[in-house]
Amino acid sequence: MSSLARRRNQDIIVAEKGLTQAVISLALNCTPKDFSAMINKMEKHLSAEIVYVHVRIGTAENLTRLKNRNEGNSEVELEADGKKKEELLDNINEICEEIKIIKNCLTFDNTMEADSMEKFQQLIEKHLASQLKFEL
Amino acid sequence: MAMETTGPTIIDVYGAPGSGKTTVSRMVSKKLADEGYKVDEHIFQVNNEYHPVNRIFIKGLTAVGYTLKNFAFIKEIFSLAQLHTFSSRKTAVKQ
Repeated sequence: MSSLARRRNQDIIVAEKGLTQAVISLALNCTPKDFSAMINKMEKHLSAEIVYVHVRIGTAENLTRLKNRNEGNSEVELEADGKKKEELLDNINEICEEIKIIKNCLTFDNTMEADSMEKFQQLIEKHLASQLKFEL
Repeated sequence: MAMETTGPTIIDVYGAPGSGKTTVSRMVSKKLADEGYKVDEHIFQVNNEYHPVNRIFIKGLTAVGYTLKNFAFIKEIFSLAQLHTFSSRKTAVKQ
């Protein structure tokens, strides 16, 4: 078991802004081949089952959400302005899509609608019951 | 309920900033809690091992034994790796 696993002493870790997110940050400055290697190294080091969940949203909705965050004085996660911000988001989304080719990911299309959440909830339940081998 | 995994299962949520990662993570956490898992929520806002929140967490780790039906919701997983490095360094200095 990895040092992280021993330290946490947990059965399940839900990681928002987890290791994949760190790899994405690094991937903004490297090639797809490099970041594919980084993800594989990460998995090998952790010696744990990793379920990848990709959350995506349209660029227009994304920009609106980020704008609202800034106005609400919450954390600013994207340090860029105007067109640069849009380009940066496109780059990140491109990397996310490439990760999907490398790994078998669950994808959540955030349309900010209630039924979308409900559909994803069903998907998660199905996934938890099968892939994570839950005995309900 | 039982799980057949050797180490912890990591549900790694990724996506662009503002895509809804927090919402999805909390939804998954809630689902696991509903299934009988104990929610152990640690949100790392500051990626710094000297931050009081992280120091409390280090102290807490030493006091908690192994428990089944346990999972953590971690906002910044890489801060744990930093914690580990810090802790190892501290032990080395003591010795």
